Formats: sequence, structure tokens, C-alpha cells
Amino acid sequence: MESNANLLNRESLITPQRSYADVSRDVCRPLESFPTGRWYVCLMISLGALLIGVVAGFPLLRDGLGVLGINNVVAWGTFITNFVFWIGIGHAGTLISAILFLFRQRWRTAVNRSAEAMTIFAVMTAGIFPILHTGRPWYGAFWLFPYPNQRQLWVNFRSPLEWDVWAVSTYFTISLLFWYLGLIPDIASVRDRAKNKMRKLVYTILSFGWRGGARHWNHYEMLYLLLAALSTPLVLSVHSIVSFDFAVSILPGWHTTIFPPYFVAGAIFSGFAMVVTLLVIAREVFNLKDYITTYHLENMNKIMLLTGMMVGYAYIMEFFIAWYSGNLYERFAFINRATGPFAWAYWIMMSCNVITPQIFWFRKLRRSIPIMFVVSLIINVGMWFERFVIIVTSLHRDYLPSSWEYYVPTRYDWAITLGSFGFFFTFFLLFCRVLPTVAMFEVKSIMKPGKESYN
Amino acid sequence: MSKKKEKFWGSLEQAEDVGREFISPPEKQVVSEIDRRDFLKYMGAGMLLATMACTRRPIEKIIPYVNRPLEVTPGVANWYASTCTGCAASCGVLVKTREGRPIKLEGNTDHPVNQGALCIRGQASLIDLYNPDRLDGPIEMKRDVTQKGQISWAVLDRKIQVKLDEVKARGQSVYVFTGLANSPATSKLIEEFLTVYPGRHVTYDASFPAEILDAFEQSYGSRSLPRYRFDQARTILSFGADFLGTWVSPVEFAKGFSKGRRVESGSMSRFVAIEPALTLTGTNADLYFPVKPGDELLVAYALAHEILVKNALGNGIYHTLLTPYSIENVAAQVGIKAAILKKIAQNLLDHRGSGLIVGGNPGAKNAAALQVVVNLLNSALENDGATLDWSLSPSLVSTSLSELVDLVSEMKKGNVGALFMLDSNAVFSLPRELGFTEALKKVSLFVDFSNQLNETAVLADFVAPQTHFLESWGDRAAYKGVLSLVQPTIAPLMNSRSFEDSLLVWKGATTSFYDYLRNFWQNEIYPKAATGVGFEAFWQEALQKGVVDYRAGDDSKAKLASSRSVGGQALGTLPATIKSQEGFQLSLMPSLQVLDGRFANNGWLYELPHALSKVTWDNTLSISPEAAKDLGVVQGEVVRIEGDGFSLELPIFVQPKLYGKSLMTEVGYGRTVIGRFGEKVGVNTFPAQKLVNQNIVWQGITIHSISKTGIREKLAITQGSFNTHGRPVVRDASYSEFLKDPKAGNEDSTHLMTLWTKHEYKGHRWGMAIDTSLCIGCGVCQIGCQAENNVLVVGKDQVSIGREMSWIRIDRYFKGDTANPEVVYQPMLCQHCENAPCETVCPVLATVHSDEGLNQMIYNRCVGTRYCSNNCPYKVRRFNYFDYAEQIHKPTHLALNPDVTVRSQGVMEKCSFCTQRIREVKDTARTEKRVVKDGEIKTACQQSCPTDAIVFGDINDANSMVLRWQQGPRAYRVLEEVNALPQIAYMTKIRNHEETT
Repeated sequence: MESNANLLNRESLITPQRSYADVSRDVCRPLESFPTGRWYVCLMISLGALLIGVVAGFPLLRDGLGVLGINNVVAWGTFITNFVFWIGIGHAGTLISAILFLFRQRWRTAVNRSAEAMTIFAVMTAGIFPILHTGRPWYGAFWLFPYPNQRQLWVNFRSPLEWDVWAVSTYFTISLLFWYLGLIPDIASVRDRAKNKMRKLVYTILSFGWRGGARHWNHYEMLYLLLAALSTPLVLSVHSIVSFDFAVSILPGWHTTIFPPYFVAGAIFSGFAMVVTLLVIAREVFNLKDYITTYHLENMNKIMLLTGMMVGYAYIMEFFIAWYSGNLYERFAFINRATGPFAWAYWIMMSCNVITPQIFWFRKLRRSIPIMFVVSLIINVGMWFERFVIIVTSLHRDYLPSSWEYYVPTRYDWAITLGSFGFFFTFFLLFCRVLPTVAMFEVKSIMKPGKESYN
Repeated sequence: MSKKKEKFWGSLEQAEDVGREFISPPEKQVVSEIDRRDFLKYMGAGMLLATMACTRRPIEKIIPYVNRPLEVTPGVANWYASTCTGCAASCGVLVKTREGRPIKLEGNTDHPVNQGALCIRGQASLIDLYNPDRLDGPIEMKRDVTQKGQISWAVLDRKIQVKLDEVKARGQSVYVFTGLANSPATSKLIEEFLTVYPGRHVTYDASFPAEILDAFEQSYGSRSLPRYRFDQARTILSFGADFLGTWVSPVEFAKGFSKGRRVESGSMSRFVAIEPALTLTGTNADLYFPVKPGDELLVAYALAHEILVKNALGNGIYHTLLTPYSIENVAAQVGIKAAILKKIAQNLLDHRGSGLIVGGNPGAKNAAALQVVVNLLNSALENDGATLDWSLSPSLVSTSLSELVDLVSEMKKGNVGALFMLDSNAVFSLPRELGFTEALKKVSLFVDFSNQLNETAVLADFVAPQTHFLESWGDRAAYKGVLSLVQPTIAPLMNSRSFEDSLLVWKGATTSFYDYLRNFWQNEIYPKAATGVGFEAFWQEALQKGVVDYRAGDDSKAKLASSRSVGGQALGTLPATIKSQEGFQLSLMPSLQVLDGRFANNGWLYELPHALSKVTWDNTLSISPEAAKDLGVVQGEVVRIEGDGFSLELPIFVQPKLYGKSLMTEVGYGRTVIGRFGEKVGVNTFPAQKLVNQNIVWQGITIHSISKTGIREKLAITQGSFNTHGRPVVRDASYSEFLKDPKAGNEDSTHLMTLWTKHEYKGHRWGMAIDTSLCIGCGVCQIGCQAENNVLVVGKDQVSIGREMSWIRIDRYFKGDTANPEVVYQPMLCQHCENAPCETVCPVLATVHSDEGLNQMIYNRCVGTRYCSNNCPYKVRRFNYFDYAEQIHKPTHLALNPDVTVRSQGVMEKCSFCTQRIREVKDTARTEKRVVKDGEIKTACQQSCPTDAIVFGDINDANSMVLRWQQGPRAYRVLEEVNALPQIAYMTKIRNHEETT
């Protein structure tokens, strides 16, 4: 797996002087010992947020969507913002695990597991919103699927929402398989290390009888490669299709051909920001600093810098095209974004997403843990607002000036948004407790134990 | 029973029955399939069944219409003709009843007043019938609402008769205080009652411009109202009269006005409005001039000077009076260019005998004087007798305010023994200076007939709730020779009794009012009508048609000009000098929604966007943009205005077209004793009215200070922006441009390609056309739609965050000058697009295209993604954010139309082109084995439109009216460039504001 051709003095991917045994021990420690106080604190915060969301969800389902701030004109608000946001978050995982795998980026090994887990949980979180935001979720949850039924109802395959159903569910399925496949050898390691009977039983079942034989590895590598190849186009397609929800409509500010690449870039941007946020916390809480090093984080910051500029380009290009098209409504939609009643949201988005990542041009700042943590949070906020700006500012002032309206999210909007973060982090924290957060066997493959450094 | 038990076998031999003797000995071989145990079981069960057989199921009889009421066919509506009693206009109505419940009011096409249309208040009065706050039985109020107690009618009758006899014995008089009375039978009954118990009949209607009656009396010697013939007027000049909104008979005037506005007919009337406070009518003027309150009199003088003095018309005494008021002298003071005034005068002269000048709104400053000058002008221009038709003066019983003043002084003196209050909320609406409330204490018997508690009723001794007009008998005389009947369409829902029946009982009569009415008609009306048929047939026909019309002569031709001239004594009332007042002045206007408050507590009216401000559930302080800037106030900011003896706190609404320092607000809001819907709706502005020289003054009230309160209220405005922002959503042209090129102002349609294959329409294809030139923005279509389609009321909180449910709205756009812009009204409803953007994006196919071109909404399939609404460029879709239907207060649910689904929580809804009305007509046509005739199907909005601005029909029918409109040069589609191919065409707005031949 290793190339000797690299003459440059590359930074080591993990802290030197670590043995294979160290890797297994360090990675499995959170699974095999009682959780730390810090983990409990994190879990309590997450559960608290989740609980707020659940409590707010009851009136939402009982009384109707009226508890939210949406209205006749701005019929989509924070829920669809959250949906697109969380789907976007989910992109980094697949990108790291599939695309970077195909490009043989070896630094991915330390971070891909948690990034993929994040993908799974983010898509799960995202999936809540389209269902909750329908007027009648008790029907919406299944009438969107074309199942044979005696009422002879069918779905409308011309609707982008229907495409969403397929795109997101496919993405979720493939991501889950891909993630789980990668987990099997490591689960087997955990199984082998287990001293407790129950524990052994559970991990035995989960490891699907992995024995680490040559045939197993052979099949594993082939399947992993295939799944990587399958999920690579999905990274691009899912958010392209999510962007079709907007691009295929006729609303000025939504009806834009730049949306698919712009959404994908934005998704990767936000996904990496979330990965950095999570890993900075995880390496602290679970003491994985030797494996998730500054080098990994720096690499991700570089990707954020790149994708940040891509979205920045898209923001500017949208304005240019709006002007260049000569379309009255289109022009207004964009001027209104920057100067209208929701200008505050627009400028939050611009400053968070375009200006903030520029500090990653400086190596020192790029490698500073506190700075990158703050920047990643800012980018998360910015990307949430990007979706908010796209959805709300385009809707609130569309074709007929008579139907212009303002939109104010209510406490239910915020509570359920908060709840979605709680949902996501709760799952992530539980994942860190029960499954290895670093792909041990992949990290081992890039190690050269006993040497000062591997090059 | 036939099953054999499967036996287990131990070996192959056993399976093949080898060694049978061990298994089943021959003597035990099965003869029957039932063995002994089974036999016993069946026998036991059989015996048990035999013993149970005689028990009967409990009887729950369901009874179909075996003896069904003769008129009622389930599922088929019955229509009854009646008369609306909401105001003095007395429009004929058709009451649609389903299974015995009135569910909709429509105008009676046979009635010459409203000719099929009905105003917002008339239509909305339907739900007053079902108002949950109606009183259920008489109340002994004892002048204290905390003391009130329910009593029976018998007890009430006894107590009142005793008291009436006491009053009579004491020699005190009995007063009957009513609204404007134009019911011949009721007036007669009151007269008879007052002969038994001596007294007087006094009327007061706060929203009726009674001053003009005073002026007619001064000018011509008779206190009567002409019939205004807007339909025959070629040029109309109004000094602030809201004749399309609330003034005298708005529906009739709107019908008439629209006749002169049909540009395709080859001519167009010109309408000039000079207004001290903006009215709905004023927004429809070709030329509009805002003036200071009171200055309209100056303009009238100037025009009279120009017309009378310069042309040496009329009596010389007028000339001396008018000398100081030449146009040159007045123009600068009123802020209108002299040249324009001269043109207006010239225009009036050009249309001598076919012009119409109308005076002010109720309580206008110098209203009587203004009306005298208006009479002078109309007489001089020979309009009097032509467009002012005196041959049909209604026999309105309207007493002047001085009689009301007399009443109060009599009350104070203790001469009034009993006061009966009908259709009037005097405590709420009369000026404080009059001292009516205090004087009430001296009246020993005060009976109120309101069927809901109000400010006056709570001060009464007894409240004898009268029936709603849909539950009562009665009659109305709209004009001389035009009479119509009020007939009950439902038995009283509450324990109430009509005023007339109460009066009959207290008078000691034993007949019911129905008999009284019949007798009255037999003796008084029938001989005059001289139909030549027997009375029974006459009565039946009157009930059926709802109207008896025995006017003399041909109505369609203009009458000859009268030779009457304005009497000299009228001039004595004219003010000697007129000085216009500086500073802020307040004008009170009768509310378009609730008039003087009589329609308060009505959810439909409250939720209907106000025609001028689009504000719902509130009255506001309208202020000109210029003044708002000077004062530094913004929309929704609550300000305190202080005048002589009053101070009001009202939210600001910035209203273009108002004179710089004019403030304007509506009365009728802010009722304190009111039911559940009207609670805390708006502010009572009646305290600002003044009583000056026995005249009630509503306009030009001096305001000393305007101060901010620091409170900011979120007004529930339904329109986002009044500016088109340069978008070609409305198109307009002047009449002269139109004459040169009928396509004026209308851009050529862009030719766009479409990806979809076009729909095929083999049978009908429904379409609509709306003439923005005719639309006056009154909002009747919205109420009509609401009643027809069960559109629910959602309340102020929901409307203020943009969740109103109306399927049709009237967009109002301003154009040009910010101080005095031109106005275009555009009714906006589902456009039933050919390439409907909503249809493609619905994931569950809940909105689809019908084979007749309707964009259908399938409620039970909708999961509520709201994507359709997002993708609708017209934003006409409405979403049920809550279960609004759950919030209907019983018994208002009885007003729901059973033909239309009541939408549940979480589904989208929108205009259906009244698909149930289409269905109904198609079914009728099929039964009669014929095709649907053009114009036979009328949507609810079209039916109720007083200006007939909406046409609906089959585009596939080459001769249909709608196709002719759609293919006309003025037709355009809104947002054509989006290529949704809407089925509704709009006609350009034409304004007659330039000099034309």
C-alpha cells in the first residue's frame, strides 16, 4: 500500500512510535471502559436538546403545522432548511470514504469511520423533516411511495419531491451498507478483545463471522471498491436532486441551473465543517489525538477553503446571471436577497461562508485547533443560513407584489431545529461508545511500527 | 363437518393400513361423519339456539322522508325570494336553502334595485342568523347587565302591558326609535300602535346621509330622496359621496355606474371625485382631487359660479351669492388648478341633462349646504328630473335630527314614558353632546329589540330579541311602486319573536304579523298594483318573485328635465363665508365592513380585507404619506390623537390619495358589549363626532395633537405591496388611447414554447375573463366565494401572519404620483393554468387537470407538502395550517354548503371555479336533454359582482361571451411570460381622464 516515490518530507499521518497494539488499545478504549464524565456531559446536553425537540413535536402533530411560522406565501421555512442542511452535512462522509478512497488519499483512514457515521445520522436527521413538514404526516410518510394499493393511487414521478424520496433513500441505503461493511473487520477485532460473554455475543453477531482470512479480505476489498464506486456518483446526485426541489420550480431565485453543482459544493463544504466540529470534540473526549492529528484536520480545512470559494463563486455568479438574464423577477429576487427584509440572513451567510474560511490561507491558523473549531461552527451556521436564504427570501417576495409576505419562525421552529441537533449528536455519541470511531485496520495499513517515521 | 382427523403413522405398513384390526375394529366403523361427542355438542348448541331465537334486537327506527315536506328534496336547493334589511337600500335577495337551512344569500335578478348583486354586508348577514351569541329568549335586564334574568315571552308581555298602561295613565308618551323605516307594513303598524299608546316614531341611521334629505327639503320643499340614475349619467361628479361603498344604495349605484363604464359599448362616462376623505368610490374616479374637509363646498361654489354666473343660468339671487367664488379665487385655496376646474365645469355643461352630481357622505362638513349647491347645479344643468328621478322617490320614513334632539329633551323632562329601540344602537352611535344615555334614566320603560346584546340593550329594562330577517315576515319599499316581501326561510333558531309580533301583542291584537301583513297588502298594495288577478295569485307571485313592481312608465328612458328650481329659502342655510381650516382634521367614515357597528360580531366581514387598506380585523387611522413622513410615523404605529373632548389611540395606516393633513378613520369598531367575534376588534371612534347646530359632524374634526404612544401593532394586512414594482401585472390605458387603438396599453403576448403536450378538451373548456375597468374593488366576490365554498374564518392572528383562507382576493395597485396615485383593482384567484406549475410538482397527484380545463384539488389525497403553493406564481393556494373547521362555533356550521367539502387540517385548498355550480347546471341540462347554455353557469364571484366585471363560460363554445372577452383587444394574461397559460384573461383598465370628443 505504501509508495516510496514520494520524495517530499510528508508529515506523518499518525503520531510516530505507535505499535499496532497501541492502535487497537487506544481506539477500543472508549468501548471497553466506563465512559468519561465528559462523555456524559455531552450526552446529557444532546439528550436535553432532543427532548426539547420531542416536546415541541407533540403540539406540531396534534394541532398542525400552524404552530410553526410558515404561511401561505412562505410555505417552506426552517424545516426544509433543516432538511437540506442535514442532507448536506451527510455529504462529507461519503466523500471521504468513497471519493478519497478511489483517489487513494491515505489520510482519510483516520477520519472516514466517524465521517461516515455522521453521514448516516445526518441523513436520518434530515429524513425526519420532510415527513414532519407535511400537513398530514400520517399519510405523507407512506403515500409518497408507489406501493400497490386498492385505492389505485400512484405517485407523480414528475415531482422533484418524488425524486427526493428515491435519491435520499438510495443514498441512505448505500451509505449504511458502505459504512457497515467497513466496520466488519474492526467489529471482529472488538469481538476478539471482548472478555465479557454478552459483549462477545453481540459483537460476534455484528461481525458476521469475520475471521480475517485471505478470502475474506479478498472479498472485502472487492466489495468495498465496488461500493465506493457506487456511492461516488451518489455524492453528486443526492444533493443535485435535492437542489432540483428548487431548480425545477418556477420561482425566481429557485429556478437556477447553477443549483446542482452549487448545492454539491455547499454540501461538501458544510459536511467537512461538521466533520471538523465533531472530530475536534471526539479526539478530545476519546483521546484520539494520536490518530486524528492536526494534519488530518488541516487537510479538511483545505477542502473547506476550496469549497468555500466554490460556493462564494456560485453566490456571485447567481447575481451575475440574474443581471445578465435581463429577467425582471430574477433580478429583483437577488437584489431583494441582499437588500430586502431578509438582508440580515444574506449577510450572515456571506460573511460566514465566504469571508470566514479565507483565514485558512494561513498555515498557522489552519492548524490551530481552537480557530478551526470556531471557524467550523461559523461555517455550519453560515450554511444553515444559506439554505434559509435560498428558501425564504425567494418565497417571501415572488411574482405578484400583492402576495409578498414576511416570515418569522416561532419557538416551535427553533425547538425542533434544536431537537434535530440533539438527535444527531445523541446518535453520534452512542456510536462513539459502541463502535470503533477510527478504522483500526486501515490505520494499521499505513503504519510502519518500529520506525521513527514511515518515510 | 366432513373432515377426517389425520392419523399419525408409525411405519409405512401402518400408513398403508397394514394391521387395520389394531386401528379400527369393524364394529366401530364410522357410519355417520358425526361421532357421538360431536352429536352431543351439536344438540346442545341447537337447544341453546332454540331458546334464544325469541329475543329481539333493540328497535332503532330510521325514518326516511316517507311524509317528506313537500318542498324539500334532499340534495336539491330551494330558493326563496326575500328582501335584505341590512340598510335602507332594501335589495332583493334570493335565499338558497338546503334541507331547510339558509346557506347563501344572492341578489334577486328580478329586483330592480340590486339586479342580482348583493353587497358584502348583505351577503354576510347570513351568518348573523347562525351567530352563537344570539339571545335565546327575552331578558329582564333591569338596566344592569349583572342583574339580567331570562324570562318567558308571556311574562314579558304581561309586564310590558302593565307598564304601558301605567305610562298611558300618566299621560306620558311612547316613542318608537328605529333605523330608517321603509317597510310600509311596519310603519303602519307602528302608527297604529302609537294611536293606542300615544307617542311618536323617530328614526336614526348613523350611516345614512340624512343631511341630504334636509337639503332636499330646503331646496324643493319635500323631504324625499330621488332615485339616482348612475346608469344614465355620462358624467358624474361626486363631492365625497361613497356611492359605490356605503352611500344610500351602493349595489344599485354600482350596477348603474358600471353600465356607463363598458368601453366596448362605444361610450364611457367620466367620473370626477372631489373628496375630503378617501372613499372606495373615489379610488374608482377618472379624476380624483383630495381637498381639505369643507373645501369641497368651495369647489362646488366655484363650479356653480362658472356654470351659473358665466352662462347666466338660473335665478339672479344665486349670482350675488356666488360672485366671490369664481374659479380663479377658489383654485389656489383648494389646491386644484383653475384650468382643471374649468374643464370639469365645461364637461358638466357639455353633458347637460346627462350628468349627475352627488353630495357628501354622512356628517360631511357643511353637508346640507353642500347638498343645496349640488341641487342648484343639478337643477341648472337640467340633470334634476333626468338622472335624478323624482317620480320614484322611496317612501322612506326618516325624521331629521332635530326630532331626535326633541326626543332627548322630552326624555330629560320626563315626558317619555316608554322607549322602544329597534335596529339601532343609539347609546353607541349618538354623539355624547346629545346626552341620550343620561336621558335614558328618566324613561320608565325602555325596551330593546336587538337579538344580540349591545351597548344600548344592556341599559334596557327588557330585551325582546327580534328574529333575524331570514326568520321573519315583512315588506320593504325600495321605491315608489317597487315593493318586496321579506319571508321567513327557517323557523326561528332561537327563542325570539319579530318586533312586529311583539308590537301586535302589546297593542292587544290577536293576529300574527303574517296576517297583518297579508291584510295590509290586500288593502293597500294590491289595489295599487292593479294586476288584474285575484289577491291570492298576486300574493303568491309576490312571494315567488320577491318583488312587486308597478312603476309607471318606461324605466329605461331618461325622464324629462324638471323645471323645478332650487327654492330661495335654501340659500339662507348657506354659510356666508367659508374659511378652510388649517392643521390636522379627522374624518369619520361609515365602515365598509360594519357600517355604524350594526354588522359587528360578524367574522366574514371582519376578515374581509378592507377595500382601501386591505386591513382585516381593525380600524386604522389613515394618514397621507406626506403627513406620515412629517410626523415620523410608520404603518402600524399606534398614535394618540386629541381633539375637543376626546382622545383616540389608533394604529397608523399610510393611505395615498388622502389630502396632506387629513386623517381618516372608520366608525363602528371597538364595540364594548359584543359577542365573541367582535371582542377587541378596533377602536370606537364615535367619541370624536360632534353635534353642531343640530347636525352631526363627522368630517373636518379639529385635531390638536398627534403623539406617539411607542406601541407598534402588527396590522393584519393581506396585501404585501401596493406597488407593481414595474412588473406588467396590470395594464391600463386612457379612454382616448383606447379609442385610437383598442389594444392600447396591452402588450403583444410573447410566444413561448412548451415542453408538455397540450391538453385536449373534447367537451367543455371552462374559462373566465375579468374586466379591471369595471372592477370597483368592493370585495363582494370574496364574500360570495366564502359563502359558496365554505371558506373558513381564521381570525386576526392567523391573517396577520399571512394565513388568510380567501380563495379570491382583490389586489390593489397604485400607479404614478405617490400623493394621488391612480388605482387598479385586480381580482386574483386560481388561474386554472393550462401548464399548471402546481400540478407537476405535487408528489401524490393531489392536484390534477380535468378534461374540462379545471385545475382540480383532491383534498383527501393531499398530504400537505405545500410545494404546489410555492410553485404557484399567483400565490392563490391556501393551506389549512390548523383544523380551522374545528373552530366553527355552533350553530354557524349550519351555514356550510353541503355541496362543498369542508377541508381538514393539513390539506391545500384553492378556487375550484365553483365546480359544484358547474356540475349542477350540467346535470340540469342533461336531465332536460339539452346543452349547457352560455351564461347559464355563474361562479359565485361572478354572480355576486355588482358591476358584472366577471364572465365565466365555455371557451370551446365559439359564441360564448367569455371567448369574446378573451379574444378582445383588451385581454391579457397576468404573468404571461411564466408560460403557465392561465385560463383567466384580464381586460385592461381604461380611464376616462383625458379630454376626449
